[in-house]
Amino acid sequence: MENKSGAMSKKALLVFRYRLFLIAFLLSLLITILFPLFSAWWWTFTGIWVGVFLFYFFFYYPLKFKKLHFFLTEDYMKVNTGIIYTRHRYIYKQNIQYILFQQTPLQRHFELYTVIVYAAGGTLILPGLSKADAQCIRSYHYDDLDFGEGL
Amino acid sequence: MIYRHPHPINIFENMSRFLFLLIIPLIRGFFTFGGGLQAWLQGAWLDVMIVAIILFFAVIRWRFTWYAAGETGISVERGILIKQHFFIPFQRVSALTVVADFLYRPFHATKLRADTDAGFFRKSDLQITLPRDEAFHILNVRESFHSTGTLVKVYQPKWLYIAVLSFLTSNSLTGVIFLSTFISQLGSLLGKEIEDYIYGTLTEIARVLAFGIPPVAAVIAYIIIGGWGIAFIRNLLNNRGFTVTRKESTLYISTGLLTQKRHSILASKINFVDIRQQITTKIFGICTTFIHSNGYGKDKDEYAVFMPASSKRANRRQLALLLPEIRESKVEIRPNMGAIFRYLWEPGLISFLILGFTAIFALYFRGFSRLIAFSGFMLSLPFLWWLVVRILDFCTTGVGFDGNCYTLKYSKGFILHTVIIPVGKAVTISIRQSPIQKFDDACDLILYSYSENGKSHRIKNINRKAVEEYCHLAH
Repeated sequence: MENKSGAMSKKALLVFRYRLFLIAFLLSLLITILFPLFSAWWWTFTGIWVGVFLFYFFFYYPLKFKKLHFFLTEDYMKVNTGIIYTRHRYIYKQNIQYILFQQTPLQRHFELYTVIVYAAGGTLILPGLSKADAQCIRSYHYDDLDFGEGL
Repeated sequence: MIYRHPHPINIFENMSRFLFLLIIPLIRGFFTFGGGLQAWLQGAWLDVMIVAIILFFAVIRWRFTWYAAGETGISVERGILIKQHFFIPFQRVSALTVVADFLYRPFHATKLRADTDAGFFRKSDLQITLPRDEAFHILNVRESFHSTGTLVKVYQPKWLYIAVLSFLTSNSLTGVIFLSTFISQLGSLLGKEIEDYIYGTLTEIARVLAFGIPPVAAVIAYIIIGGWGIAFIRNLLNNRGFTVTRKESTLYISTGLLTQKRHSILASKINFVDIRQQITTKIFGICTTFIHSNGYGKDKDEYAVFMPASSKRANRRQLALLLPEIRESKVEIRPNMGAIFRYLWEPGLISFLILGFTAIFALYFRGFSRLIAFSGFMLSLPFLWWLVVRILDFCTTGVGFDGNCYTLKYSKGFILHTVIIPVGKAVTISIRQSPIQKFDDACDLILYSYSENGKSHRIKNINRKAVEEYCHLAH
């Protein structure tokens, strides 16, 4: 089998950031409802969410996007991940039991997939993969099995 | 593959049990109100609306679930907002179970559960409610995927053995929980008066049957006995008709009277065989055999039984016929005599402390000495029982290996285990030596078998060098 590799789709970073905007909007709305405008509590909680927002927007998500890669070899599947610590996870092909493909409404709009690999002894989550990469993982595990529709 | 929706009964499954708590008072209110439909609706419009919303979402959820069974596996698509799609190949399924609940049977509905070696420990990888014929069709397709051969062996235990198993697996707590849940649910549905009436009647019966015992003690005793009786009857009904069939590479286990279950387990996916004995069953020379295969015995109040109860000899014979690939071997590495303290110190110390404190208290509070002595003795009884188990454990414990399977004999709690693990299913072997064990070069052998939650088996205080040589032989 020819070795294959892939990474998160460029659109995935956009999806992460859209999701972040949505959460930030809801948080700001909640804080405005709960505390009087420009009060000490309002400033404190606004400061916290803005800080968290900036951390995720400029640091966490770009790094997550940059670091996530997967490699498919004849014997095993390797996934490089991690934000602060770098992790290399290997799962032997023979230990993979089944794979779940998931799409949120936002991911559906951008044709992205979250792929969850269930293996004996662990689970691997690969968020924000393009349709081509998801299909690649699917055919890697299921070979020529009749998988039905979907994807 | 043709995609289908689950059985429509799935709509009711999608509604939480709170719906029934809402619907029944609504219906009851409707029949007892007597003011006409319009007046009733004016009073109960909010409840009706909530029921309608729950029903609407349940229907939507059902409409957005599809499954398809092909020749190679089962495919599922589900989700309204978050869409999920997965395919479980038959070659990865360790246990496939069809559950025909007695409530579902009039609607020809069954639950199909598929489990692999991955996923959740307490939850099946796939559970879907579908028409009975369809479920058995999937079971047959899976069977034809793995085997084409003829019937090899059928094992159906005697009714007495099933009763023994039900006796051993019943505990009063399960029965008490079941009874109290039943009464409180009935109370929620039919009204508080009914609940109070049942509890009142049960208390009155206990008072009448106290026979000189203080009523409080009688109530507690009857709750324990009653709870145990209920658990026993439930287990008896669940184990009724227990049959094991070996067909080429697959084991079929059918069980249950009210809720009928049929499990299909690949022999190669069996991680270990566990032959269990308690002191009582050891006296009668009976043992109960369980198997560990991911997915089997996962359901609530379900045990991974392989042979309900049998004599040791019959057990060996049946095991050799039904599972010839997993064979018990002779135990060769045992702890030395000096290790007995390691086995006995925990129950011995606790028993000694309880009895010692009982004696001290009885001396200080002479007026209550009889009560204290009785309470102390009763409290120490489980620990003395445990001490006997540990003595038996010390006499039988050890490790054996025949080139294909490990045989481990050890105790856990009040149960003596003989575990047979095929070499390929032993994931990790850990040899642990404490500073004290270094003196006589002893160690604890911990063997982790293939499982969703890391099952471990520990043999205490055996010779390290012998174990290492043995493990070297194994690999």
